[in-house]
Amino acid sequence: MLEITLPKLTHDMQTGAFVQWYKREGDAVKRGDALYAVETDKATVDVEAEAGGVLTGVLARPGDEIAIGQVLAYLAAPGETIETTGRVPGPGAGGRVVATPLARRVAREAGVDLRQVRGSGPHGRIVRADVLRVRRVQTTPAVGAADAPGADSDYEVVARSRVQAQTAARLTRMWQESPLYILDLDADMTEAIRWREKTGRARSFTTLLVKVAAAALENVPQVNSLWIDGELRRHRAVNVGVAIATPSGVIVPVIHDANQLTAQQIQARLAELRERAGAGRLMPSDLGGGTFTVTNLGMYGVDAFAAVINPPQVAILACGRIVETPVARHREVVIRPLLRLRLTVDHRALDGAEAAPFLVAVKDLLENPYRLI
Amino acid sequence: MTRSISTETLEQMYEIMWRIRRFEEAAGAFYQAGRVKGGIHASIGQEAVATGVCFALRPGDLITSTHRGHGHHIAKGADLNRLMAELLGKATGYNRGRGGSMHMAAFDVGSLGAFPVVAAGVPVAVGAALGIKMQEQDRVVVAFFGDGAMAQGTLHESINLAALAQAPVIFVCENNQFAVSTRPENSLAVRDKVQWATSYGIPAWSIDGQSVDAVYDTSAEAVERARAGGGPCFIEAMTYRFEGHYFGEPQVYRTREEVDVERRDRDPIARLHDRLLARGVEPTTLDALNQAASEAVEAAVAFAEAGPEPDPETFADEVYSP
Amino acid sequence: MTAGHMREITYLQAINEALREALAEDPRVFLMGEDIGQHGGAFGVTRGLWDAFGGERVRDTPISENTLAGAALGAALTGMRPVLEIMFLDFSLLALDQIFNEWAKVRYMYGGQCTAPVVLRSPQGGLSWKSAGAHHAQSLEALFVHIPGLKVVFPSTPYDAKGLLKAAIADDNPVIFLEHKAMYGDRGAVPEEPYRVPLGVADVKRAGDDVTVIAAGKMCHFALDAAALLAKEGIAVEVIDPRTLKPLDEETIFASVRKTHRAVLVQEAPRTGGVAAEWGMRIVEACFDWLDAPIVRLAGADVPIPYAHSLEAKVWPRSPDIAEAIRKLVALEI
Repeated sequence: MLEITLPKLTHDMQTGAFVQWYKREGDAVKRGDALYAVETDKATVDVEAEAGGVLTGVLARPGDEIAIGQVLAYLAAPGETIETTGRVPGPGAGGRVVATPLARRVAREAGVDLRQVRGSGPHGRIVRADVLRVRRVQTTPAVGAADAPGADSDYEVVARSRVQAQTAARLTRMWQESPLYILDLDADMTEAIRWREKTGRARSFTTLLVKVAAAALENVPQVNSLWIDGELRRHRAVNVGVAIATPSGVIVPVIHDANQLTAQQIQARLAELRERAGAGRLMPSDLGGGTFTVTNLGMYGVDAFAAVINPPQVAILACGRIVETPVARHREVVIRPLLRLRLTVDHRALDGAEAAPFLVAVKDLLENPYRLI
Repeated sequence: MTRSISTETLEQMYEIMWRIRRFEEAAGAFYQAGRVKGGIHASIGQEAVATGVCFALRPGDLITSTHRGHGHHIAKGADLNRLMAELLGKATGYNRGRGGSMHMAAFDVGSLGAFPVVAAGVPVAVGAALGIKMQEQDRVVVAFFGDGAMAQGTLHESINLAALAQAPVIFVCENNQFAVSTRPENSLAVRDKVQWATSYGIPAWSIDGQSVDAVYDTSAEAVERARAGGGPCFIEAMTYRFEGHYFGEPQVYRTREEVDVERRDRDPIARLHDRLLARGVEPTTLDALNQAASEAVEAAVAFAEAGPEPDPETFADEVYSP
Repeated sequence: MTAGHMREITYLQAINEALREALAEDPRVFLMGEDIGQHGGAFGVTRGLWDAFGGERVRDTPISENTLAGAALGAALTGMRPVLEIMFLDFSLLALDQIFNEWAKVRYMYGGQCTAPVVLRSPQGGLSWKSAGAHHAQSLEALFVHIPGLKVVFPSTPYDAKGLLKAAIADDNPVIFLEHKAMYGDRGAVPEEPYRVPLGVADVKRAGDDVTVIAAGKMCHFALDAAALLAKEGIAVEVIDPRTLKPLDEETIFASVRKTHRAVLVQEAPRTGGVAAEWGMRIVEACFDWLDAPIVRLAGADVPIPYAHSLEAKVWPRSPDIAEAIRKLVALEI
């Protein structure tokens, strides 16, 4: 008899919202089968079975708030039965919902079924915060929330997805804790455009950015680091995350070992990640392990922007659209397609002298793509 | 010491004593009829004490009373109608129905109220006397209490405090021979109350409480002394409680014969009646006074019965002063 | 708070000043109690008043607590405004017949014919008065709070002590004015000008959003110490001093609990049947749907107060206990 417990799927993950089972009670499960989907702070991900057996003693239900390590169900050998008494998670399982008076009121007003809420209090008692978490992931906007002035309010409270809420919390913390600074550099994209035309536009600028960033990280390895518990951890693998907008918020799937991939491989991997993200079927491995992030809002018509670092990474590269710009070349004003590169850096990890070579390397590679490709 | 009480004053006392008796007889009738639920402690047989003491007082003088306090209030001049209405728990009663028989109070005539916890009114009387003294008023205070109160520490403390402060208070012990069922010889080690009181350094008298003249005479002297700044004094008025501790009390502690003898030989109203006859007052005059008292009580009963019940919504009013 | 010149004086001096001002302002006010005259009181609260106002208005009395309470009432019924000192609140138990049966009730049971403007001043509590033992260190406020007709005041600062005592003396109801003997030497800012702190109004001694702590007297200081410690840990504690235990300023308490959703109640008195139980029940009655955690109570142990220091130290909650309870509450461990 094996316990199926919720693994820690992302660095910041404390709990997850159970989305659905892909198997039913009594189904035979093979190792590697997609077993269930859970929404983490970063995305909805599918989790595979780590062993084979018969799915039994199913405890987790859609909407349950589940802590890391909590038992979701069991994998039994054929014919094996299970005694779950005493290990029933969550207050709903025993029939009686244990919740504070305030949590009950908030749930009542927000239309949240407390049986769908996992309590974080002692003995699984549901407190207000637990209800609010569940309320946020509900698809219908909660109008007239608990502390709002009433049903006739002249605004509506728009539900933020779990991903958005977690992103907000994480980035707020980063913003509050980190001394950030910004480096700007314009890259002349004449050669990059030429390269792209030669591929028949089969490659995207994002692909090029990932490729270039990965190469620059290899050359300037101090940027390929994580800042964790006051330590700067320089990583050997170059895993470049790409910010992708999805209906439930921005997620950052990761292209692992991007410095070892061809542009074509990067392009294919990006396409695959976009598709799975759109379907809400990312795997935990798609999201973990990023050491750097690039983000591109060029397709949205933005000239340039400063991005907030995706902690515990120490820098993020943001760029907007390519702008035809008059520039001086050889004492003449010429029009060149420029891309404004903007690097946001955590000063705790990197000072300007350490970060600047990276940005310069990115510029050089963008202006001379054939060195790479 | 004999003071000449005018026949007219004695006639007034006669009517007041009848008022007390008729009032308590009416109260007994209400009790018998089940119209009054709370305990009623009658002072029938003791009317001369309340009357004699209060006739020695001025309207501005003060008294504290006890659970057996109808007579004190009537003798001090309280409105009979409002007393009876209070007995019936009516909104028109002195206490607007919050007190009843045991907690009568009539501040308009100087009664600081009945204190049914035994001896509890005595220190209040002492304090009132201190207040009077500090305000340099020429008023005096009478503390009524029974022989049962003599065993309370508070009474001893009160006499001690009053004697120390030379407060204008007269301690009046109505010794009706019973602390509920207990006779003084079974509850007080010192039988002689005068000896007992004088040990606190104050004058004390033990007098016949069935003789309104004697009560009046002694009280007048005590009051005069206190008013003149002479400090407190103590009067034991020997009397007898004709009724039980309360209406309906079984009285297993005494014989019917004992009570009958007392009623026959020591009824204070009969004694005053005889004395007034001896002074040449016509029997018809005395009958008329008795009749007037009866009519006043009947009128009070009618007033009380006609009065409204307290508005239930006011039950929590006046717990606090604004 | 009154504008004007402030200076630092002790809790004891503040009470002394209130008495001095009341004696000077109103000829009906007088003090009575054991050893309060030339001696200046067992703790020195009335020091100097006998010299200033004489033995009639600062009356030394025999040791007769119940009779003194009765006499205070009698004087009040003649228009005086007595302030009775009982040396230790433990000794007021001798006077409870008068206080409970008469002070509290005369106005009501006599149908509003009179008022009873009497004040009992008395020190209670333990904590700094080491080894006072079973009969000199009790906290008995709950007894008085229980009786309809009484008001009960328990100030925690010199400012509150002076202002509340002035208000208590001016009040037409019997007021039990409790002084914490461990705070007599505590200093605080007090205006030189006369002022009153109204009865029945609580004071938010420290504002915060995370947890409401309700504590009076010495415990209020322990709560404030705990709050200061927890602020460094990122926990914002609101400390409410009821100041008047009866009538209780419910609105201030309820508003705070509706904000923080959590309440910690602290009393020095033994746990069972204390004011914290009353506070907690009122919160439940009025704020049930705002509570996001059980109400937590810290209180003295249900034991007589022992003599030996090692035993005594176990009796009362202190600021670390309060801080720890709050931490657990915030961490969802309670």
